[in-house]
Amino acid sequence: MKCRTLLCIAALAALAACGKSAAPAAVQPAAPLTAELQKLYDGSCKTCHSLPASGAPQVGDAKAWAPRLAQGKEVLLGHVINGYQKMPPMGLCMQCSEEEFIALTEHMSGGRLQ
Amino acid sequence: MRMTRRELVKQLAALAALGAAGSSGLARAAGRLRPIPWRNWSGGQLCLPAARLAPATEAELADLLKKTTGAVRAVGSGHSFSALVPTEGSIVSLANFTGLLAHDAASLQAEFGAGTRIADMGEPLKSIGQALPNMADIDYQTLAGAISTSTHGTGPKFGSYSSTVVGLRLVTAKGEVLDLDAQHQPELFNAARCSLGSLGVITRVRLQNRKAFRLRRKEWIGDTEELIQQLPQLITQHAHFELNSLLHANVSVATALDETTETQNLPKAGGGDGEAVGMLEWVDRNFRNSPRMQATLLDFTARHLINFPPVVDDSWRVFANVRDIRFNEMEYEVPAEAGPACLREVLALIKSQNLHSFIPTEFRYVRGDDIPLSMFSGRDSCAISVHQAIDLDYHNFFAQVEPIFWKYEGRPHWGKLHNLNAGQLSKLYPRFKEFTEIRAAMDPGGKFLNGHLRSILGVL
Repeated sequence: MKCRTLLCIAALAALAACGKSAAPAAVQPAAPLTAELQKLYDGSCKTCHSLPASGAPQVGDAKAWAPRLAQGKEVLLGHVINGYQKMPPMGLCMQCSEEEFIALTEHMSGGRLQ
Repeated sequence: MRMTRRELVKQLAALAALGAAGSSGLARAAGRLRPIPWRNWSGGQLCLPAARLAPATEAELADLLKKTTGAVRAVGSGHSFSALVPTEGSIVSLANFTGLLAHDAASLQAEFGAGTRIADMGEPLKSIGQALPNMADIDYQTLAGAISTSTHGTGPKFGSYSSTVVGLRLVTAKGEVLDLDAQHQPELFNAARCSLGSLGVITRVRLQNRKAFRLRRKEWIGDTEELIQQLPQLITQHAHFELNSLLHANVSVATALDETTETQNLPKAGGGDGEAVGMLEWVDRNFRNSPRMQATLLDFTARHLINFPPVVDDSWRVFANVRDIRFNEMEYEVPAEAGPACLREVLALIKSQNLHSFIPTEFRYVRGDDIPLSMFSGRDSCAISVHQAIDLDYHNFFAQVEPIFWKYEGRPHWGKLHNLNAGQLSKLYPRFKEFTEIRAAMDPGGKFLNGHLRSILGVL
């Protein structure tokens, strides 16, 4: 039993160490938004997507967005609207339309939803 | 306005098309506009409203309320776990009612748009030399959402956000715009300070603040029972104190926040609580059926593998935390003197029955107030919260814990999950009838009600 406990503690220590080595990703400046989209971004997406501590892919971080964009428009839009893992439903934008969700996602990712 | 009637018809048509399409049609329909459901932060509450609206001005909101015949529910950031929002009518976002609107240096009061997120209030308040006296441990909520549910932080000398409201503007079911405070319609004002969106739509809020200040956060691990026994001293020594007890273990995280004159920042480390919660989840997944091993590992993890560095910063940066693990939550407010016994009983039940959850309980103090529907109406309270990760069943877990709260005459947090209705709630709130009479006078047609509100307020 003691041996098993020690192994478990070692595994936990490894888990604890895991999250501490991530270096900040290179972030590219995103293209400017229209005034209306900027307001939506500031009132919702920005809460997490411009706060590295949130764990959300940051605006302009192409590397973090790449695997998400690769899932395709329908999957990614579904995650935005319905929530997925850490992403809250609608990204906290209660009034955003489908087009606005797409535009905001493309702004943050720097890519096209296809 | 965000959605016109024509757009609404398009949405409903798209919904009908989806329903009729079958699986092969789904792919075709996916290329078109889709009906967008509303869900709360945890995903546990869901509705498909007829319209999602964001009026640009108070006049537009007043016109909307006057002309709308169906139900209207105001929505903030969707951070309530209870069914306050779901409706087949319209949901109205306050996203266009934001920002610092006015302030007074002498009285240390400031007025904000009601849709302002608490997270967006710290900087502008600092720029005018003010700060919120106390804050909850997350700041995602909108101001209107927070006061409408008596959301709170911790500290026996500090009331909920609602208790700091000294004035507000309410747009009624008839489209009237009322400015309310202690001098103007004081009874309605006091009821509106915590009113679940049932009296009208709040568009601006004036708060009693204090001078800007800095906080030092100290956290440590201790034996849960020893910390509970030390509570009388701990809440005397520290302005803000809370206890997060690990389930199925013997230890708790004690958190104390105190004002400081230290000028050098010790900012919070990056990252939310995901790493720590991830370790608790790992232990749960692997050792849930070996309770003794589980307790040993949890105690060891908390004591040796999770760091608790001190934090010194502006108050609002210290109060609020990043919660990057989504969950559902039940919280009851019990009389302050009953808090420790209630917490012991909750923890003992979870341990003895090996109830499945791994997110720590939260134990906080809140000062009583004089607001009819506030959970703290007429009594100092301890707030005790239990949580469940979004991918685990919360119903059965909460249902087993909830009777303990009832035993201690607990009042459920309006924004969190519970199973009470007006029959039980009216006995817990001495001024329940006072509130329901005001509500009936303000909204006799029930425009601001949904099924949940009808149940908890006793409206047939």
